Amino acid sequence: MADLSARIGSLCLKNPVTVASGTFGYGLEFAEFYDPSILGAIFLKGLTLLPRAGNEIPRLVETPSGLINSIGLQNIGIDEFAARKWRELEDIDSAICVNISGTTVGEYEELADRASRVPIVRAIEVNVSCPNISHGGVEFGRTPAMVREITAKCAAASRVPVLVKLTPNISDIVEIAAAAMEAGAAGVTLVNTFLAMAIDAEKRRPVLSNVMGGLSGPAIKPIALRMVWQVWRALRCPIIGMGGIMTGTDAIEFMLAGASAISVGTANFVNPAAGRDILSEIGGYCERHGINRVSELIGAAHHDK
Amino acid sequence: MKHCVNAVLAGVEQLDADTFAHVYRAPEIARDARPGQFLHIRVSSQTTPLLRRPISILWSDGAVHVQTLFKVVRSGTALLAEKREGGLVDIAGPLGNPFPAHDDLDAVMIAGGYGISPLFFLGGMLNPDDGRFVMARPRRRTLLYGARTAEGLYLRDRLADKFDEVIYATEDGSLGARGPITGVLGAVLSERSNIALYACGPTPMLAAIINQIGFHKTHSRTPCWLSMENQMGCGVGACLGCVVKTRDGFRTTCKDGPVFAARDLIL
Repeated sequence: MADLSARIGSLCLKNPVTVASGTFGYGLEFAEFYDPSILGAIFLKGLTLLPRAGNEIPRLVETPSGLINSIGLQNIGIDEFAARKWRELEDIDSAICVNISGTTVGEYEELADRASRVPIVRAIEVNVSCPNISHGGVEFGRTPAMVREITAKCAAASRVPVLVKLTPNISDIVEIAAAAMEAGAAGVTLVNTFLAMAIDAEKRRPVLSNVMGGLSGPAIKPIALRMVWQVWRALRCPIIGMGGIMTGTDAIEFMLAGASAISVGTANFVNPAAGRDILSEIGGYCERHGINRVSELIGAAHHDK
Repeated sequence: MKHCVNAVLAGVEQLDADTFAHVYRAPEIARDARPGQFLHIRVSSQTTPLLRRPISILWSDGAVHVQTLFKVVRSGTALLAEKREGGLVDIAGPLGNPFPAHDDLDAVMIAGGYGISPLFFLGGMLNPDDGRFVMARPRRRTLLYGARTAEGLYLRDRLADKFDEVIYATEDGSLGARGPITGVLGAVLSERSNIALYACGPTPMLAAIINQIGFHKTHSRTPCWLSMENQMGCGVGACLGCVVKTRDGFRTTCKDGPVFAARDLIL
């Protein structure tokens, strides 16, 4: 049995399989299908300072091998999470990571501070990439200067490691990732969804109430993989790779491109036990290829390694 | 308990050009299934369409087999309709909350088209002579069943042991009363008290039911449970894609529903 442990800076995970924010609820929604404690980490539904109602429906539309969503960060807010909700997760033996979104730099700072004080929280994921809210979100993730500022403030305010979740909707992912790492991030999560839309030809209208949303699923995998590759090649920094991972082989590809851990997102909807199955397939891959430590795979596809 | 299984498609019945009944051999799911719950079915092993399809449970024998009734709407349900007997189908379930049952109230169930599915199941579970588990024992089980035409009234030959009386309405007048089923409901609400209402059908029908109750002040405390249909992502309350508007804000159809109290819904 290979050593599956993974490290994202100072954050140690029992294995590289994590589940992505927004696709796994508040950690227990899939618990009847498999024990979430087997996961390396669980990224909870994004939290904001105040509860958010989210967008009108339709919020989802399927596209070839993909899904566009515009949920609009519907969430319970940090107060409810910090006061009560976290206690439901006390018995989960997996690294609980809180994803935060602000509308100002000050809000990010406050969220990082307050979320990191919650006893079970092992890391903060700073979401500067949500395409579905009218203020903040992806706007903060589009320039290196802004990412640098928010990351530095959050890293200073947080008591636990800070990861930064980046948007792919920019021209150069490397300079954004570099800004996050220079400002004190323990690692970067690559990538959030791609800005997209669908139109109903019969109704002659956009399908989503919010017009645009974020595309996820197998359709984005080659682009996400390329971005992980580029960031690893340039920065050799800890990366949580994601974007259309459906199988253990997909996960291995992201690790070979440079990811230290991977995140399962849309696949959770297709297969409610996707996290468990992908973890088991990674173990099987290591066995087949005589890999003693899964970390040996990180960046192994780069020619010059 | 929820399960995700590869179930054998043990029976296929085509009811009309685009309406099908499936029987799955899925003991884990059959044991726990209750009226109002749904199955989340993967219609393709490929990635298009990507998401599962939520299909209401028509019947469970409580031991081995679970049945569904569905209409081909778009490509996903079309793929489901192409499945052949004997093949394996990836099913998660049972998901969502079932209809609550009221022991001491007469049950009035209102179905629109293939919305008969969870009410067929409920009717059986409210029958002390039929169910292997009986949810409740109302004195009378009435089904008000409407569709555009008589062809849209499914399973008519199988309703006798599920309901004590069945009243039909069709919009073209081809069977039963002419007009929407909510017209029949108006008369029932005027005549009867001590009833509980259960409904499943198109959203305009459910909205009309909420209106009808509003007109009848004597029914302001009558329990009324509506089963909603919605496009879904995860099916378990994680993605928040399938919300409906309630007096308590957005609630998920998959986890908070699909059965909602009429007084909570804003349609």
